[in-house]
Amino acid sequence: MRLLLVEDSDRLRRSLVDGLQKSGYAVDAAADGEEGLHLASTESYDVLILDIMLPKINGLELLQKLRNRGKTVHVLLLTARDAVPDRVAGLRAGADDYLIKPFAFEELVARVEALIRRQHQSKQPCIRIGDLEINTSARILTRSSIPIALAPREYALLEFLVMRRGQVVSRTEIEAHLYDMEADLMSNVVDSAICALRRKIDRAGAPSLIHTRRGMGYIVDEEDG
Amino acid sequence: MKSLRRRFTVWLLVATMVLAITAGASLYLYLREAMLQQFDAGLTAKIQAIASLLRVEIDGSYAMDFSDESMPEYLPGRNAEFFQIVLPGRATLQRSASLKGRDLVPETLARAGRHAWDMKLPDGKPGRAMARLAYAQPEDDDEDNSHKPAAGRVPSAAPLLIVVARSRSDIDRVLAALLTALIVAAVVLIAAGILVVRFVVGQALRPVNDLAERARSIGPENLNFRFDVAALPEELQPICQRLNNLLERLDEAFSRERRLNSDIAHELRTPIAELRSLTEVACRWPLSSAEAEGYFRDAHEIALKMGSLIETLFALARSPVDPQQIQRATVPLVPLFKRTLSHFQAEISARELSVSLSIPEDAEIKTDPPMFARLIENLLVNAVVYATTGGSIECVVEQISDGCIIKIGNNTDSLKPVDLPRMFEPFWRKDPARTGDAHSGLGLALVTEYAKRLGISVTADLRSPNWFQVTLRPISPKTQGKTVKNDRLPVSLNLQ
Repeated sequence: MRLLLVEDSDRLRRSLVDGLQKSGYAVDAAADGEEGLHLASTESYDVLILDIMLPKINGLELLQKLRNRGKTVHVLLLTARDAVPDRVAGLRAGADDYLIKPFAFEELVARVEALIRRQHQSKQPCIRIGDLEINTSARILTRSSIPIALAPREYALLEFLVMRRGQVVSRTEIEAHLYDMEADLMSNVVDSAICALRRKIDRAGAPSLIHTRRGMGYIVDEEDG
Repeated sequence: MKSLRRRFTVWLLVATMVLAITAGASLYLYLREAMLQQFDAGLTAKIQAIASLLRVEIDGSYAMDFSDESMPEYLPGRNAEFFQIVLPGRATLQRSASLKGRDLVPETLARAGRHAWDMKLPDGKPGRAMARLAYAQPEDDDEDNSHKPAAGRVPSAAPLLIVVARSRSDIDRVLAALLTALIVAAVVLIAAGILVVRFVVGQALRPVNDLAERARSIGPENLNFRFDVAALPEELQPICQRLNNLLERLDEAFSRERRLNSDIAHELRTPIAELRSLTEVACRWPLSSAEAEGYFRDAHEIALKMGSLIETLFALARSPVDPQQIQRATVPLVPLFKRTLSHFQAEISARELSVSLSIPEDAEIKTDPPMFARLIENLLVNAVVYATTGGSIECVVEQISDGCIIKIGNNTDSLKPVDLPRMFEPFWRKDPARTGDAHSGLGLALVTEYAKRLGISVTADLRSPNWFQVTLRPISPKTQGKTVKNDRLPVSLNLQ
């Protein structure tokens, strides 16, 4: 999943980007409203984490401009202001959630996950495909009740495919949602990642859960339809 | 009775009732009196008619030319009238047949000398009687002079007492009908008055009710509401004008409070958020040595920033000191300015600022040296940080009889006149995003606090749109008390 963090505090931005990347997200960051608006308008993100008090364009103004441009990305507002009118103003400007500083990093991640689930219209944190079970809250993957360890990026790839179960996901979409702008992408990076993922989740002799649609992309489902 | 509406209604109804009853009673009494006068005039005419029939015979005896046919009203009957003529010796000369031999006038009443009175008639009906003295005419006297002793009258001719009476049933009936009509009119008037008074009071108090309704709707969320004074009745205009002024001050105070809360929240919560995020991420995943070094450096910077912020807050929170109790010493100004500016030399060079000092060599001030040095340092650091890059800073000192006037000015390209009243508020920063943590917006608030303790007034001006200047001048003992009490320093706007 790909996130955009717009925060003007260097130290907070650095630690959040670091933590979110280590949690398996592809994260782009902007230090002011202008840059944030540009990235949010031109790139595709699953969730936008937005500070309100920003230089150049403040967070609420950015949000309104984004909504006026028809962007429906889920937005989580970060702010030090906890007064009810501030929260109401944020939600009315088009935000989906509101988090007051200081916050627990774990809570931020949980709220981001909830917004991602909402984006994919899934309320259940547990998703089952055959005997494969993914707990998106605990980030635990099991097959036939046997835990499978995945690297953060592998987990993010599987979660992205599972969230769009039954739909063909193109390589370009996978690149856009799993890798941030600073990632050095080689032409076969997605194929290599899929191959590594298959090795970890598929069982010997059983059909793979990740099916290739030649020239189109990949699809996750119980059976290859 | 605290309701204006109820008070007006009750008092107007009471007034209406009193007026209606008074008017009705007055009308009744006036008509009654007029009718009685008319009735009495009728009785007088009857007496005159009877007197004209009296005469004195040659022998001095009295006679009366009366026949029942000429005056049938005195015959016994349903509406009979009565008369009785009493001689000076109290013997009756003549009485009407209707009396049937009875006396008309009790002796006591005749003696009391009343001319007209109400009485019970011999037939039992209520009536009214009148008594008059009259002189009988001599036998040969043709002229009508019955009421006066005529010339040549016999000396023995004394006045006779004529008493007439008649029923007052008609007049009583009319008066009873009048009283009934007046009572009915009063009841109708009062009933109508209740409706009219309620309507009139409602109409008259409508602006007050509207005002109360609008005042009730004012809350912290709509303090920008103002009453339309011109549209209100003139009696309410001064009240609403005052309310508008009060709302304006309240709105300003609430806005200042909200700004302050928001700024404090940002200044205090952001470093805590940074530290929390930093430590939680560091604890959750193993760090490389380079990452750990960066995390520790960030944590150290946050600690320094929070320490500095807390020290400044403590300085602001210290209880105010009476300017009279400050330990004063002479502070030469030229060395103070040069020493302070030397601390910011690197920043001045980096921002290509030119600094000019126009301070007389012997300029000095008697004050608390450490506190005054911190005041000047805060003003100079403000000028160095916020002056336009490549601009200039001017420090001017003018000597006056009771000390010095110090002016510190710098170029600016961002300040507006609207910023001047706010810039001395704690945590005020021109940048609404409050980016960067080198400054927290407490510098000028600290200047204000130090100046208050040192007995110095601080004013901020925009001498031109691009030149910001802070002026310090000693407060004379006469005005010192006022300034120390005032939390907000005077700020003058001088845009030339």
